Amino acid sequence: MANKMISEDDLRDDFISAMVRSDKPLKAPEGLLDGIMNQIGPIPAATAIKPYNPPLWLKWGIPATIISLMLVLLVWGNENNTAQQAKGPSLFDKAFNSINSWFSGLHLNINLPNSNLSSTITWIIGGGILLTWAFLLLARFLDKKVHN
Amino acid sequence: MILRGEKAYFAFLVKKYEDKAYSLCYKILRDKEEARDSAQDAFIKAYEALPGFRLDSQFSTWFYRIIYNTCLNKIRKDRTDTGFETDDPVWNNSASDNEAIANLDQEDMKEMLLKAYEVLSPEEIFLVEQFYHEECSIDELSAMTGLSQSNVKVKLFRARQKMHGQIKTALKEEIHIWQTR
Repeated sequence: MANKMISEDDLRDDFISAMVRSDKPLKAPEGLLDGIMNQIGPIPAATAIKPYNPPLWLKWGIPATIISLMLVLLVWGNENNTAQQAKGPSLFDKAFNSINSWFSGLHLNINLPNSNLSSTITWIIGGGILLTWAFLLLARFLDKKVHN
Repeated sequence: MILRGEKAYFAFLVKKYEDKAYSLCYKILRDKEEARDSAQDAFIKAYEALPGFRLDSQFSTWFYRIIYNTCLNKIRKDRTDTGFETDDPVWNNSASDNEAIANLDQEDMKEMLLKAYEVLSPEEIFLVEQFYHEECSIDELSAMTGLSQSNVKVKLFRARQKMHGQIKTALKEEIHIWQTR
């Protein structure tokens, strides 16, 4: 019989279930618990359990990065907004312009959107992408550290 | 708390699982002393391995995997594997056989179970116990044993056939003895 064809329901068998259940679990012998506790007694909790302790730079680096990013957004973003009208193209415009000029060098004509995003939105998008990647990489790093 | 190695909390876990662990070890190893030692070993291994326990899986699945490996390692070490590795012929249930089986009472059932387990390998006993007694899914059994899902299904299918075959043989023997009296 092809194993792919055996379904979980095919394997159910009332008789075998009843037979297996007719045999009640045995009582564990007296002193099993004490024996186990005596054996794990000498194992120090510190060696038995190794909780991950992140280095200081990592522990304080994350909130520091978030706070400084927020401060930069609040202070710098605001300043830029007031000067937005007076200033020329935004950061995104500059980036798209340079990408367009690279493509024109390759004789390709790809019209990237002519966006007019404010500097605050640019910072939010950029910061969001950066933070997402930072957290993803950090989570992966911590996961590896814990399971090694 | 348990994951941080608090021994008092670990004692609760031992209390909760000791009967099941001992029973399972006994059914696989068929020796009370060895079952006791293996159950004890399994709990100690579990305590030492607690930092590696991932909270995304069930504790029972993880713990039964430790029991399974402990018992199989014990058997390999002692070289006392009494199971049959060969494939048995397919047993087909006739209506009369099923009727005879259905008329068995609790005590007969227990006796039959012991006979049926005689033809199973330790690995098959573990799978049968977890599937038919604990109602574990194929997915959980695969996680416990490290076998692929299709492999678990095939092993369970064969174990079931072997059990039915063994029970029928035992019943026929009993009927023969009864008739010759």
